[in-house]
Amino acid sequence: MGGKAAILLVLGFSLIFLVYGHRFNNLSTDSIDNLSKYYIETKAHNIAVSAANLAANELFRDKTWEEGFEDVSFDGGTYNVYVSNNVTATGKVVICHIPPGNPSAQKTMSLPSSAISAHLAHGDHLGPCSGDVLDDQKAVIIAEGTYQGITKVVTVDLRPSYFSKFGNYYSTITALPATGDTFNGPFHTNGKLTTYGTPVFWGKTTAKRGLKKIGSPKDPKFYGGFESGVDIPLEFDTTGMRQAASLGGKVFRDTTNTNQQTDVELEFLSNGDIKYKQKIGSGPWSSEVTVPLTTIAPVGVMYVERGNVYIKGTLKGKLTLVASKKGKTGCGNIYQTDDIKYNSDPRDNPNSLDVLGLVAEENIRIQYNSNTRHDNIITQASMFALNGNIGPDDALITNDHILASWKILGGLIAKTTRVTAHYNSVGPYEGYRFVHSYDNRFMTYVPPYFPHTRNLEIVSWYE
Amino acid sequence: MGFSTLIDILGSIVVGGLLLMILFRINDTAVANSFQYNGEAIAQRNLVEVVRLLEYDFRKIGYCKDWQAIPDPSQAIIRADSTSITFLTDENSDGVVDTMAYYLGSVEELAHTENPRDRMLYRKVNHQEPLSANLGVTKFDLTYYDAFGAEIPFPILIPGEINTIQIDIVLEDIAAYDQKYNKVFWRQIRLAARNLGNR
Repeated sequence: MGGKAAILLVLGFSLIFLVYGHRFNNLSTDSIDNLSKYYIETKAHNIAVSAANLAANELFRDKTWEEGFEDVSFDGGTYNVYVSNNVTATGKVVICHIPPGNPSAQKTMSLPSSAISAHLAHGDHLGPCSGDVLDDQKAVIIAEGTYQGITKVVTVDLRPSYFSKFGNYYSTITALPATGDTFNGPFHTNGKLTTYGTPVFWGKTTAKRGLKKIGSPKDPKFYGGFESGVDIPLEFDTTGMRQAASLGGKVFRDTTNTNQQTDVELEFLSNGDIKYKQKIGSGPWSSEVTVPLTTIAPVGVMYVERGNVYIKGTLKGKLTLVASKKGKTGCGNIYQTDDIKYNSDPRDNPNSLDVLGLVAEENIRIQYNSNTRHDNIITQASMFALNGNIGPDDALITNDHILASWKILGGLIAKTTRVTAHYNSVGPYEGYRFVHSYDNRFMTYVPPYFPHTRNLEIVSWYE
Repeated sequence: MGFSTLIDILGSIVVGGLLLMILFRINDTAVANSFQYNGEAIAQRNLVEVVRLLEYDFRKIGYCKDWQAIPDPSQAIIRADSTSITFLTDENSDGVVDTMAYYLGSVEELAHTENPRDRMLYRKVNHQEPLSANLGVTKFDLTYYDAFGAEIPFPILIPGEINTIQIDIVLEDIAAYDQKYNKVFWRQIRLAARNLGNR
């Protein structure tokens, strides 16, 4: 009897220990499984991010790239990359791509017809995904990283980038950003950015060849971030602008076809009209013509071929004004003869649709004349000087020993910088004090046919 | 009843008592272990869930399906300090910009729980009621770094300077046996929200 009881007791205790042991083992295993699953998800996610970076790199190098990657082994897993590229190609088929294993990350893509059957085979369907809007200016990368059966998706949207988004762009900088200088909007130099002391950069700042800090303290403030190694060459082809002006805008050119210089004087009127006259070669100025901007240039481009432009006034509407050189010395300049303002100031009215782009193959200058000298000058525009710089005439840098202000709302994009005043140890004492505000609309809005950069830029990254 | 019987009874009582004491001790240990193992599993599950959510949301700082709706994503972080952050995002990926905030509640809010250190971690979207659950968060520390990797000191006056974020989280059991709380720690080193530096 006692022996049986002892055996039962031992068996009972053993059973209890087994149950508890099993339970504790399960709990320990659960904890590890839980972290293990998180690790697998993280790894799949990291593979997808790497794949997206690799694909973005391909698109930066060649904006027509659309091959993608198929079942590439990477870090113990695999990745697939699909590219929908509407930027340069046409004749694509629109599908709704549903990533296998991750249907919530569906995305509308525009692909060559040769790629469609493979997509339909894994569950995609023709036509856009519900709620998606097609954007013919966009390239889309869909990167799927798979690790141990888990698939994660990263979606990247890219678009052409326009020079107008810059508050300041210079291929090279001759005047160092220094203590007391404040730069608004995105800033780029395609050389090395050298700063002296503590200049302040409010927008994202990029430089191709890195940053050098000098002075004391060496502490530039980058309040929108800084990135090195970003190559954005200053180049553009005016053919598209010329064509747009020819088809739906206005081209000023030598109508005698003798390649003479064609100069144009323009005045923007606040009611939306434009008053202009032109002069071909050494001939007389034509009589003035006043016409609505929407009539003379419905697409918003005016193109002066082989000449210079003289402008002033209050603009109502959208316009990009181009001064081309076309190989003729002394041409391709834009001269501001008085204030240039928007009819509706975007600082007061963020919905203002008044936008001006000034594109000069050479320089953009504030002209020394009775309207400008000694007075403050206002320029509201995004200004682009391909082979030169932007600033006042030489005489205005002295300004008869008077110091005034040049108030800019917009951006300056030029090959080099230009001084606007003469300085002593205190600061500027004659010429023009540089007072620059960035027009925030240019982060997303572009003056008609304004030059774009060579490469695409990432506008949205979803992971 | 003889002397040997008496010895047997006394011996049985001693042995039985010892067995009972062992049984009670085993029971006590089993309960303690059960708390320990269960608590650890729960804390780890909670941690992974919190981390998943944080990573999901923080990676989307500055993201909007309609990219033009956030014209300058470098300014997407609105406020940032050591235990809270408010930023622009697109929570449902519907193209509408949302304002999302994470912040840590006070210890007093959870004074009724056994753990004296646990606090609520709140997630608030726009003007909705903040969502939270007592997952045993005892520490939610955010550290911010600029584009050069230098730590930005508090108070952060210009959130646009933030380039990467370090997140430290500690979770503990809400209740524990004999005040022996399990503690799990997670650190995300340099979480970079890609949209902050896109444009």
